[in-house]
Amino acid sequence: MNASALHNARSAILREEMARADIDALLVYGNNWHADSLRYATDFGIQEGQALALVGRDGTTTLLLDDAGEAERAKLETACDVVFAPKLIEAAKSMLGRAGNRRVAAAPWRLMPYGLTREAKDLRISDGAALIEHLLMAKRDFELDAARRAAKLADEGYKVFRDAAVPGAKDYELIAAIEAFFRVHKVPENFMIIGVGGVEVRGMAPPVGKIVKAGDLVTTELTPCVDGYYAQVCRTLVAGKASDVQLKSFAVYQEALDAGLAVVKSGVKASDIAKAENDVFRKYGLGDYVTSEYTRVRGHGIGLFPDQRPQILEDVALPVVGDSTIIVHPNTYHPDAGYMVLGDTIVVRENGHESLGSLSRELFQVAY
Amino acid sequence: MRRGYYGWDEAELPKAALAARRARLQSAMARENLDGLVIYTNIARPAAVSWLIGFTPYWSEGLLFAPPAGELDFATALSKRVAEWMRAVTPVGELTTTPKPAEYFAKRLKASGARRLGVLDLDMLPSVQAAELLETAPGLALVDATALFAAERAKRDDAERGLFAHAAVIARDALALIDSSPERGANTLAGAIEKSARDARAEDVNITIAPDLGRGVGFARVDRAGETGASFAIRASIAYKSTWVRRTRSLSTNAAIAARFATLEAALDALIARNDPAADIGPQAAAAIARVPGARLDRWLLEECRGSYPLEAVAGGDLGDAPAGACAVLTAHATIDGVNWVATRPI
Repeated sequence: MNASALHNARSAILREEMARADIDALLVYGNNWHADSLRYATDFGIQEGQALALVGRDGTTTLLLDDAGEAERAKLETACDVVFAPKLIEAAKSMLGRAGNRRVAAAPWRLMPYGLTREAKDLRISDGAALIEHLLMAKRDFELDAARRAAKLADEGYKVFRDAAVPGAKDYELIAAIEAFFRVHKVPENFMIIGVGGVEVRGMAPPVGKIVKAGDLVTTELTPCVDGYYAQVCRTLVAGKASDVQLKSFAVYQEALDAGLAVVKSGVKASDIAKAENDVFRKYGLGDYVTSEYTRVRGHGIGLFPDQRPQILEDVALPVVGDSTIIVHPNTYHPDAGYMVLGDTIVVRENGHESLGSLSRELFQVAY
Repeated sequence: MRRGYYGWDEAELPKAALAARRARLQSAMARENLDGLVIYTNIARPAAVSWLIGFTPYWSEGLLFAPPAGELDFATALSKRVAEWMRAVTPVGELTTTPKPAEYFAKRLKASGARRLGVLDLDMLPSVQAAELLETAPGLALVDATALFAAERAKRDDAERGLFAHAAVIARDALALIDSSPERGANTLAGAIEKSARDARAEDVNITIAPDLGRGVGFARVDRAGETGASFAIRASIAYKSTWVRRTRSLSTNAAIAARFATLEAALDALIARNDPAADIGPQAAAAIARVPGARLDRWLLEECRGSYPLEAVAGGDLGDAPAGACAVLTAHATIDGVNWVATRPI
C-alpha cells in the first residue's frame, strides 16, 4: 500500500471512530518529538516547529503549521488544507470558531497548548485520548506492513553500523554512516543513541566524540521510520573478539529476552513481560540492575511514535493489545561487562508474537 | 529526532558568555517585577534553553527556571541514568531529573511566596506543564515573557556568531559535494550531505528536496520527493551545538541551466557579502537578483532565532520587510529564463 492509500485507510477508520463517539471534529497537536496523533490524522511527518490540525467528521482536514518551510512541504506531501500560521494559537482559535458549536476532541491533551486548554470550555474542546489512543496501539495489516519494512531497514542498517564500528572510529562517525544509509534508502527519520566503552559505561546517549577501542562494547538502538511507522532494533557488539566475561554476561540478556518474548500474547500485562525478563537477572544475582537506577524500561510500545504505551515495567498493569507493535529489550548495566542492549520489535498476537526483524541475537564481534 | 554529536567546549561557548546572557535576562525580569521565569524545551523548541545553559534534550522535555538572581536550574524528565551525560555537555546551572519538572519548580515557587512567574511562549506551554504549575502553586500568575526574552535574545554575542559561522561552514562544505555529480540523484546526494555534515560533528541534519524545478519549488523529504527532474534543489538544515543554519542549492544536469544557476548563486553570495544590516533586505535581494540578465526575484524569506525555535520566519511575504542582521538565514526564490531557482544562505 502506498503512502496515500495508507492515509486514506486511516482516515476512514478515524471518521468511523468519530461517528461512533459522536464527536464532530478532532483537534490534534504534534511536533518532531510527539507526532503520532498528528501523523495518524494528517499523514504529515513534522520536522520543525509545531502543528495543529482539525479533522472534520467528513474527513476535511485543516493543517496549521508555524514554520514556513514546513507549511510549503505539507502542501506537497499531504492532501490537507495547509495554512502557514506563525501565530498558531490565534489561527487555531479562529479555525475552531469557524467550526461552530461542535464537540471537538483534542489529542494528545497533555501536550495541547495552554493557550487553547485554558479556554477549553469556550472552544468546546475536551480530552480526545479515548478516541485515538487505541487506534495508535493496535495496528491494521497495512500499518504492520509499514512496520515490517521499517524493521527490515533497521536490520540492514545495523550491518552498516557494525561495519563502521572499528577501533579508531569516533562515535559520531558511526552515526554519520548509519544516517547516510537511511537517507539513501529514503528513511526520513531515525531515533538512535549510542554507548561506547567498557564497565564505566552506564547507558546510551548521543555521541560525545568517544573513540572506539579494541575490546570496547558498542551499543545502539536504531529506530528507522517508514511511512511514519517506527521499528527498533537494539544490539551490542564488541570491537574485536569478545572476552569470556562479555560472552557470559551477554548470555543473561539473551535468556532474558527469550523469557520476555515467551510470555507475550494479547492481553498479558506489561508487568508480566517485565517480570519474566527481570527474573532471569535475579536468578543470576543481578536483581539490583533491573531497577530504575540502571534501566529505564524493559521495553515499550512502538508505532507512529517510537516510545508508545505501555512501558514494559513491573509496576505497569496495562495489557499489551493484540496486533500492537512493541519492543522487548532487557537493556541494562552488567557489573562485569558494562551496559548491554538486546531487543527486537514484535507484533503481539492472540497466542504469542510475530518477530518483525530477523537479525541474529548474538553478541556481535567485529573483526578488524 | 536524529541527534548526533553533542558536546561543550569552553573556547566555543565560554561560561562567561552564558553568565552575561543570564545577567541580562535577570535584569529584564527585575524590570518586569517577575519572581522567576520558566522556559519549556524539547527537540522542537530547544533554542532558548540552549542559549542560556548550552543544553538540548535529545529526547523528552524539560523546564529551565531562572530565579530573580543566581544560577539557573534545569529540570528534565530524561532518565536520571543520563544525568552524567547531561552534566558533561551542560556547563552551567543546576540539573535535576524528575518526571514532573513543572511540579518541581512550582513547589519551590509556592514555598518562596512567588506571585508573578514569567513564561516564554506562554500560549504554547503544554497543558500538563501549565496545570502542574497552577495546581501546585495556586494563585501564581503566569505572565507571557516572550517579548522580554526576545529583546535580550536579539543581542548577538561573539559566542553565538562563532557557533553560527561554524555551522555555516559545515553546511557549505556538505553541499559543495554535489557540485561534482548532480546526476547521482537526490537521495544519494542527501546521503552524502548527511555523511559529510555528521562527520564534521553536526548535531542534526534535516534534508528536503525540490525534485523538479521545471514544475515547481515545493520541497519534500527523501521518502516523498519522488524522481528528480533535470533541475532540482536540495535544502539542508544543519545544527552544530544547538545552532542551526540552512543552505539550499539548485542543481541541473543541463549544463546551460547549471551555468545560469551558478550566476545566480554568485549574485546571492555577493548580496550576503555586501548586506547592509541597517537596510531592509527585500530591496537589496531584488536588486542583486535583477543584476543577473533574465532573472527576477519572486519571493524571499528571512529567518532567525528569537525564542525557543532554532530558526523562525521573521520577514518576507506577509511578514513584511526587515533588515538582515547577524546569524540570520535568507532564502531567495527566483526565475531565470523561465526556470525556477531557489537558494538559501546563512548571513
